[in-house]
Amino acid sequence: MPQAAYVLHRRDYQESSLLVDLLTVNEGRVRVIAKGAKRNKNPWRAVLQAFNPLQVEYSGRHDLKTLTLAESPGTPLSLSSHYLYSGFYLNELLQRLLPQYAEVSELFLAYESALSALAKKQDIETVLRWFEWQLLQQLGHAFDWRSEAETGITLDQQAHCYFDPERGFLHENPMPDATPLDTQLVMSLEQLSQQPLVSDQVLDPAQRKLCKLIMREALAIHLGTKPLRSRELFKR
Amino acid sequence: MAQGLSPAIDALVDDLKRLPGVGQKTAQRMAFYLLERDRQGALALSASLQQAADRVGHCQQCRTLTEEALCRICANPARRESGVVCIVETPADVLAIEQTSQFKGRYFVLMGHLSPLDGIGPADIGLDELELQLKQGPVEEIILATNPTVEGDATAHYIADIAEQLGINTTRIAHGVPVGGELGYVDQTTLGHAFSGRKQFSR
Repeated sequence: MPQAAYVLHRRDYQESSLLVDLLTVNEGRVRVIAKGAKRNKNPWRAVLQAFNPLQVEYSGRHDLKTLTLAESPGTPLSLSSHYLYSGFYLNELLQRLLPQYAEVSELFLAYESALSALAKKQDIETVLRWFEWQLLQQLGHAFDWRSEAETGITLDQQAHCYFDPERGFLHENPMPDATPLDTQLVMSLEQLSQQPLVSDQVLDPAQRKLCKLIMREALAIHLGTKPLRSRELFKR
Repeated sequence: MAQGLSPAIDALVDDLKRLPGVGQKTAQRMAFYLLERDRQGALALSASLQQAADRVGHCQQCRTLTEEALCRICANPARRESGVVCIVETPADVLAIEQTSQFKGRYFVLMGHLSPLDGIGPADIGLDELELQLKQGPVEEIILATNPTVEGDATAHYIADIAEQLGINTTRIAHGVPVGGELGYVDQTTLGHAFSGRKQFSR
């Protein structure tokens, strides 16, 4: 049975083939060989592009599968400029953080809805922060936006709180150089948990700034020291 | 790979295998052909390889492969001062466009495309150098001729952003149906581009 998939990344493999990392709806991230995909007349050359909704089948008993079918039933999403760079950012996050064959069908839906939001030119920062939060949740690294991580009691809106990427929000300062955060603003970010992303959902500038800071720290502990290269494209 | 014939032949076969599309069998065939039938050619080949590997570097202006400081196209004053720069990914693309004899401007060769997932960023494909050149010289138009892939698109958008900031007119080559092809066999994306980029039909 064919299943829905997107190309996350592809690279040349031998003379005429491609090594393709797919995000599939049923099996998560899967690496396949597309044999002969680089040949001139091969339809896969055009089909196996990132951000193109695909139906795929593959076979094989080992980790590296052989692609046997790839079609694009719909029209590819047209992403341009910063929306396109954002698409690369989503792909890079998944390539770096999602283990192969992790079953994450909800993440697939989140990816799809983030891409279509980008194609519709929704606010980029809202889309990216929403997807980052969905990814953290699916990977089991979620934290609670409303409760104190130490005590489990609802955060006190009158007091400042601090973010510890491994645990969540604390009223006690965990590290000497942690920045005090506006608790009310932190609690308002719980809206990122809703599925799917709705078209009128837009973070205001203060929320965006805070959320970017929190997500950077939360992702950093899983990304290690190697920086995300797609961030460079946004520097202009 | 030890074949057992002789160390010199084995080394030759191994080195020929560096070439794209050449495996053990083809490399053996090439080696035996050169040794058995064309010693002269073998010497000429080794001399020209030596010369090319020693001397060929990058053009200071367009980054294509050349042994001069400036490649022939950049050295041609008419083309250098045309004010039109065509941006391509590889030196092979330059040759392909040159064969059409449609283009009279100069080139800028990226030697790749933006691909953040492979760790290739703007500086790796010379975009800082390109920006510098666009600021210095009078450039009226940039023609984007990067490949029609997602990475090629990203590269085109990134360069278009630079050009826009500098107030330079930017165009992109059309995507369309190949000559002699049949519409029914053209992929949807190409056909879609061909439709959205249609032109007035003039008689």
